[in-house]
Amino acid sequence: MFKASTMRKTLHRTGGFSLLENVFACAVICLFLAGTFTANSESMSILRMGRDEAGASQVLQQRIEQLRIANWQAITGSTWIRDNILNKDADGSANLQGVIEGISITPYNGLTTATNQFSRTLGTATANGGNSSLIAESAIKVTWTVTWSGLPKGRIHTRQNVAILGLGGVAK
Amino acid sequence: MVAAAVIAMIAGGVAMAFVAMQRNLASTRDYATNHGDEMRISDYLALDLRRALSVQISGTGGTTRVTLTIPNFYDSNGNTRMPTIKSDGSVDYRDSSAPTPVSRVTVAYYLSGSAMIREQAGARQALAVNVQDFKLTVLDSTTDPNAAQDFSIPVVLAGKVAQVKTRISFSPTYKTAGASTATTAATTFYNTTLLRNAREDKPGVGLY
Repeated sequence: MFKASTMRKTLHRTGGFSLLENVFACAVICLFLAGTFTANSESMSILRMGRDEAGASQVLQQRIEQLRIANWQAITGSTWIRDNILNKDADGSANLQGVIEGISITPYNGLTTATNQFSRTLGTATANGGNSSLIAESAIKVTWTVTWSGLPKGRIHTRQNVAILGLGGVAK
Repeated sequence: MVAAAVIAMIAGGVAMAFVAMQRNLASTRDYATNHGDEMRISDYLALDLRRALSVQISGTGGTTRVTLTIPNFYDSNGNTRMPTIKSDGSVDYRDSSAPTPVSRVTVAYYLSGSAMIREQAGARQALAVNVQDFKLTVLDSTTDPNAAQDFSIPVVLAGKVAQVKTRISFSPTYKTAGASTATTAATTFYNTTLLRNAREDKPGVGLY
């Protein structure tokens, strides 16, 4: 009689312990699953960031190549880049969210500080500066910047290309 | 009974997680490999286009064939040739040892089976393998009927310069049902190349 009562108590205690054990095991497994899916999601985000960076590099490559057809008068002009290069989206730029292109033309080791700036934002090209004195320089620095918002959480990313052009170093 | 059901659900979740991770890994590896192949093909094409004297494009998508002629810069051992200055002042690279001097080399790019081939003077070289789903689009500003939309060449320079755009895309494998058009388009690798030499196949179109 005594023995049977003890056994029942032991079984009750074991049953309760098993439930707690199971709950704990479930929690551990859920944590593992959550970690796994988070890691999966993060790896996809990193992959997408890499794709965006590569896309921005392609935009810059195309823009610098387009710039090669400009002569000195055009490249130092105050509107030529706006009207002939920034008038259209670069291929692939549509994949970049909120992409903004900014261009700065400054004298390189020059006597003046005249600067021409251009930008393309949401399909609209603008020119600022309006300096016509850059044509008298012997070298200029072209800084082309691509900015967009991407992962994580709409962070602003920037990629930039700098080219030094000399008078006589580009087409006549 | 309840515990068994819960365990079964959790086991299913674990199995799904592992399958998803495995598929993701495989697809990401496929994407990275294909992206690298895109860049290599694009880089080779751009190199040859920069020094091209003529460009011919035939076919579309996977059947695209690009045929270029380039100066005969190198001999069979890979050594650079001494240029010859012609009577008109232009420079010529020629194999004078041949009975008829050879001053041009033909280079072709095309998909053969699952490989992207670069063929120079009959010698085939596989630039990338397992690229049967690649689509190569090449636009030549001198022949493209939509050149005004596709290129940003100012009107005053029309007929004086030539640009070639290359677009390479592939089908990513993230979805079992296959990639959508938009997903495939997002894999496109773009390149624009200004041809530096005067075009021999398009009189009047050349370096500005």
